[in-house]
Amino acid sequence: MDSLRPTRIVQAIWTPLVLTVALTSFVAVIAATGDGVLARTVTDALIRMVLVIGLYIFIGNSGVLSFGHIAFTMIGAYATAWFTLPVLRKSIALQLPAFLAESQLPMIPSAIASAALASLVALVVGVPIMRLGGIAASIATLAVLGMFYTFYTNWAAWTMGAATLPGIPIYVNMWVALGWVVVAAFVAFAYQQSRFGLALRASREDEFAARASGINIWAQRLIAFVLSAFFLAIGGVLQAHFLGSIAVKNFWLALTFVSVAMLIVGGQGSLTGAVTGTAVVSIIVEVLRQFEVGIDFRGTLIQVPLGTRELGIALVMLLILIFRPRGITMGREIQWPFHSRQPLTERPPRDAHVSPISSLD
Amino acid sequence: MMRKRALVGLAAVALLATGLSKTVPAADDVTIGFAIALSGWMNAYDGPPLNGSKMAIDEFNAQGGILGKQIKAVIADTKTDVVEGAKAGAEVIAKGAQFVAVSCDYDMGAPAATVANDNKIIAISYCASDAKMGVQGIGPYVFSLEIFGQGEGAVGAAYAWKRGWKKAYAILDASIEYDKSVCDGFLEYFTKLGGEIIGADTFMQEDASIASQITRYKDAAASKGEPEVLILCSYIPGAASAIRQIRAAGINVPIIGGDSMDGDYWVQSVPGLNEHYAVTFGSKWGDDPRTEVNDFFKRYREKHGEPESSFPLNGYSMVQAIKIAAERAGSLETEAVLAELNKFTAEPLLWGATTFTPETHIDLVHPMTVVQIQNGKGSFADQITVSDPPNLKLIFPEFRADLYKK
Amino acid sequence: MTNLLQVAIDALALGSIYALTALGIGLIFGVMRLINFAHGDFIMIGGYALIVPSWAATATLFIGTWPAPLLVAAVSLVVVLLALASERLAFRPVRSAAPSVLLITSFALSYFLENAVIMVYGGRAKAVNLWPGLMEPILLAGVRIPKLQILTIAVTLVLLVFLVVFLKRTPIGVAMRAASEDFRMARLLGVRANRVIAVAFAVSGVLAAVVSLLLVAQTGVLSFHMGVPLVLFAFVATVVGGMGSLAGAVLGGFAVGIVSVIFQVILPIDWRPNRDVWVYGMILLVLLLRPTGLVKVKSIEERA
Repeated sequence: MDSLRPTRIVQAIWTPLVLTVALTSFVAVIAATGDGVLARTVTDALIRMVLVIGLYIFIGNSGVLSFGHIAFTMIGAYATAWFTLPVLRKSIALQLPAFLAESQLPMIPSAIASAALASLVALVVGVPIMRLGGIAASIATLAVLGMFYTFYTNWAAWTMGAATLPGIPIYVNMWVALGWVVVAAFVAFAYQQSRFGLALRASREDEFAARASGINIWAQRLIAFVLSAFFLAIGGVLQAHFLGSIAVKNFWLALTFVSVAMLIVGGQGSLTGAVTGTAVVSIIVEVLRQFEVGIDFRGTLIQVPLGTRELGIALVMLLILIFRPRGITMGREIQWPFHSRQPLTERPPRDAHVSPISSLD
Repeated sequence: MMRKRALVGLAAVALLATGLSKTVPAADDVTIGFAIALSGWMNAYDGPPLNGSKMAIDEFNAQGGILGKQIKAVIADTKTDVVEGAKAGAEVIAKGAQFVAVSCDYDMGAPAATVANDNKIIAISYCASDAKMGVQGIGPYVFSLEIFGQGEGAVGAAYAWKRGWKKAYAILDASIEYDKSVCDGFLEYFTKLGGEIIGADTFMQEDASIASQITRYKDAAASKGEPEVLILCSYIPGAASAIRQIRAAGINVPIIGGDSMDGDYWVQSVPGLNEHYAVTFGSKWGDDPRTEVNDFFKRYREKHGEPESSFPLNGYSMVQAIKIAAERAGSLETEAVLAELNKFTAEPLLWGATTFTPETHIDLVHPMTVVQIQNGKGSFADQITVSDPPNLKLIFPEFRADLYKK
Repeated sequence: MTNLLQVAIDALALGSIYALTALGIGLIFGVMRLINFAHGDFIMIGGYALIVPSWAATATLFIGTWPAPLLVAAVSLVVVLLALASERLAFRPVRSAAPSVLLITSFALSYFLENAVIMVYGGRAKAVNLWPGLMEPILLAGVRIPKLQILTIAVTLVLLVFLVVFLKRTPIGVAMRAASEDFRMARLLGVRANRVIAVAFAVSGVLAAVVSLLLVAQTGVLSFHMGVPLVLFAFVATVVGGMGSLAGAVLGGFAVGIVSVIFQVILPIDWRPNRDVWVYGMILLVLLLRPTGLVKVKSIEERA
């Protein structure tokens, strides 16, 4: 079959492939330096990237801004704590029902189960909320976050309430986080090229035309919402197993805004935008941090006052938004560079069966 | 492709920056890492003890350091953020820290303490009052120089009882765990002493108004008689704002709070405040019964100006604890120092007699100071030790749920 | 009965603060489809304008010691200038961008302002004693009510009346309403966009200044984060009330304040910390039942 020719496959998955190669080589370089602090920074950025790709799946494809997604990150983080905390520690810290209290799942099944739980919650809250559009939908998702946030803060038996829940096994490093970024990128790309993704993107461009051509916007949004919740929860799982402790207050407005801002800065309309936004913002943050700590340049200490980093990051974001309101990538994907045909991403699939992506999964 | 090149370029800058900033400590120093908040709201609680630690380092160095080695400080900012906190912990360790001081709060200090513990490096929190800042919560290398939160509440209850106040009303800021611990400890101990809790209510740190809580208080006072003491478990700024509204509503009952209400930097919020008591480590106003505490604050004023609270005592004590344990062990080896710290029995540190065991790395019984605000001025009120501290079980939620049902 | 009166006043006073904040946000949304999250920081900076900039733990009042009329004017001036500068430097360049970009711009601005305040004043909350006389209670029908609560409700009503007169009787107000209805059409008919938007920002600045004074008089503390919880609820209130409708913003603000007080009163103590679950739940319910909000504005259709 034509679609199985290697170049066709490479061409079909060009965007996530380039992103994967670029990120992997970057991580390899960092790993080679052996710098533990820098490795932590990169891991943190990669975890954010999983979150932002998750956000992109919903926001990017539907054009509906969501402020509630961090609820799923929180659900994922706490679920993995319930599944993976050592039994003895669980019995001290939490009052869980027997099936949770007396068992301990391995890490990967726990990650999948936690994310599936978040997806299930997304399905339940999504059914009514996805009927809404525009700003009402955004505020509704914010209300959902507000409800879960308040509830988890006081759900002492399961979350230890406002206290930090410690002792979660730590296994996430740069490579684990990178692995999930790659999975998220490929899934997000496969989704956006799929029948469902294209239908949702059509509704983003013109709601009425999409409706007229028989697209059920509610159902399409719901699919994206559930899929997106999965990766936001994975981000939470990674965060939990990276820091070893979680607290409800870290899943609130600050994380919401930072992740949404990374997406918008990168360009909300493309997967490349999600990845670029996270990468650029994280790198700027790190460089400013180094200046705050002080850089020894040939004997002179170059140091900026504390707080410069926050001001700097806000300023850079404002400048990017002012000069490139559609984000750094302006919603474009990295394109197959070897011939002049229309790029795949902007071409509707001729048929689901010959669509290169569907032959992959 | 342009984009990729730009990314690589930025990465190179980042790498270069890290590479340049490396400093390697000299082997004949003792390095203490400070992974604490230099910025963000936590700085209000971390800054004063950091000053205390710096004073201890200077004074000990002038006397010859620890085991003849000079003490060196490396500091990294947690920015009052958990991810940054873990990074700050890793950063000071990368710069050679043999001991690490972490934030004055369990939630904020835990990430850095976890990193230290994983590296088998002793971490001491300035004043986290959560018993989880220790063996059970994080690991065997983690300590806190603080009485556990419930113990703090119990001291408040003991003081109220001593003053003859037998009817209490509790208002809890349910937004952080520390507040819950203090209120739990107070309620449990106060009932144990024979006191009566006539009502309890909650609010949230960021509530713009606590008018409905005040209304409820007045209802309780009208139906069950005026409470003789109000336990307010909260922290600044929410607590100051709550007290302002409580006093404005004409409620002049004595108010007791935890060490988060120490100091007088916040009393401007409540004009002419009277009858406010805080359970803390010492009086910074020069009237503490312990002369070493008064001397310390005199030296502190010369160096850093007016202290905000008595928290610098803990910062000083942190370095003191390392010095004492290391000199007893005759070594800076982690395991040796740890063994000595675990043997501390009523060790006379500056902030008070401190006891650690291999299982308990936070003080369960500690002589606490009650300070008061009268006419907007702070002073020493009393010194109280509760020797039968509340059950450590209070940390666990099922137990706590019953307390508020009364 | 007296209890009920007390609860009603508590609810109205809190609702007033939310309503004034929601009105500030609603005005800007009306003319440029921007949900200005930085409005909370306008409120915060209005408070900080009262004191001498310094890192000291105790704050020294500066404008805060001036006589009330001068003080109100000075704080309003500071906030209005800030609002105008924000409009000129941050929002005007992105005016034609998608609403999500506008919103993120306002987040970025909010983050910038908060951190600028931390840099100048330090991160620690500051105690200030503004107008302590207002904290004295007065006796009304057997209920002791702080004067400030009465003042808050009164100021809100007066400002609402002023705003209605301004919007209905002055040429710029009429232009603003026209712009809210249909910005493009208004422009075609000769309404000067820059001027209308600048005036909207100025008015929202005055509203923010008033809220900051009422809030600081009530709480007695300044913190760089003080505007965020307010603006969050106000933000929700504008949507619940009906995006684009000023009456809706006011109604939404009162509704959120009242619902929040009612739940605080009726929930049993075990559930009380979960009060906001109920408040957000109500918001969700209203949105699901009436996606356009309580007050429907026909012409409001979001610009893609």
